[in-house]
Amino acid sequence: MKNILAVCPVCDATTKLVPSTQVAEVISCADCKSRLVIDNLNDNKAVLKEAPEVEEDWGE
Amino acid sequence: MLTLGILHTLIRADEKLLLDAAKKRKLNIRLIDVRNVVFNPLTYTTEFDLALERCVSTVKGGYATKFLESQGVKVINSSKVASICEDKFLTSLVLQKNKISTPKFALVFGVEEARLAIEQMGGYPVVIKPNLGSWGRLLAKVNDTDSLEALIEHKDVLGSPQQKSLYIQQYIRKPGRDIRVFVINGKAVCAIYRKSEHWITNTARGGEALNCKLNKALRTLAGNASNAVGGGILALDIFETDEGYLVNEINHTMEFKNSEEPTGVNISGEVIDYCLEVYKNL
Ligand SMILES: Nc1ncnc2c1ncn2[C@@H]1O[C@H](COP(=O)(O)OP(=O)(O)OP(=O)(O)O)[C@@H](O)[C@H]1O
Ligand SMILES: [Zn+2]
Repeated sequence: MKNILAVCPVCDATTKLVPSTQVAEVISCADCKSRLVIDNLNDNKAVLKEAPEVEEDWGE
Repeated sequence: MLTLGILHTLIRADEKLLLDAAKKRKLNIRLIDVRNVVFNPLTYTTEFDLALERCVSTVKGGYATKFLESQGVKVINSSKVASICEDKFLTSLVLQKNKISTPKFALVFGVEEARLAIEQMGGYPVVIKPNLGSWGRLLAKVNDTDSLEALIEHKDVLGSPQQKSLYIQQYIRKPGRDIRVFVINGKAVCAIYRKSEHWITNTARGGEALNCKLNKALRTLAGNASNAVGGGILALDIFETDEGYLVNEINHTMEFKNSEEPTGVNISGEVIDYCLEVYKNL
């Protein structure tokens, strides 16, 4: 399987994602370390957005 | 074969481990981002046999669980378990009622009452925490009345209505660590020490996860605490004191990604195996 390519919305670096990547998954940019979320996924391209701020009811 | 619905919001490394474990066991997975679902009983159709609730958002996870249960779907953990564990005050009440040792605690809404409560539990220091909340966020160790007053004023002015309920707990002097026991269906599967220089030991806040060997006392405590809140998949946070173990709180959508390696236990696999077992007995 091919790696998925995506561009970091913060630093513009292109990141390679593993094939098991899922929409809504949290990742960090290999370059700028920003916390990102997979917003959209098709074939070998993914759209990333910045991860949302932690909310009051988040946790375990 | 079981089709398992995993209810989620953001997908963390923990959910990825669960997906891997499910794949290995060849069961079918439906990933359900609850943020994209219309919870309308007239239009909703269930496309799975059993649900595992793994939402980062406690509120969203709670509603999704209650909705599915109303449609006759079994959810792990049940809304009964979740509604106790998501609320630190309710958890403490259940522990106390079931004679499970827990730090002294009280809930108050005002400064005067807070002062009284602290006197009743033996004085400062105390810890004030949000009833609902996690990852060690907004926890305050309060050492004297001056800081108590300042904290409560801040919460009154800046806090959400939730933050205005003050859950107060006696501060426990710990040996630089606390214990987290992973419990599935009443059985302790493994445990870690969360070690830190800081009194807040959460791994989300830099605490280190080290293997903690289970002993008889921990196993018994795990069984009893799990029974008290209604079973399922739980993580118990425990303090070690000279008088024995105290259960601090119980997590119902536990994070375990940092614990598989130190314990050598495939926690994600245990979780999925439990789902399979529940399915067999449906
Ligand atoms: N009463 C207390 N005395 C001493 N330390 C405490 C006390 N309450 C909490 N702590 C420490 O603060 C941290 C967070 O505590 P707690 O589990 O109550 O909060 P939380 O935000 O719900 O975290 P979690 O993500 O573990 O659920 C833990 O490291 C715990 O050891
Ligand atoms: Zn970047």
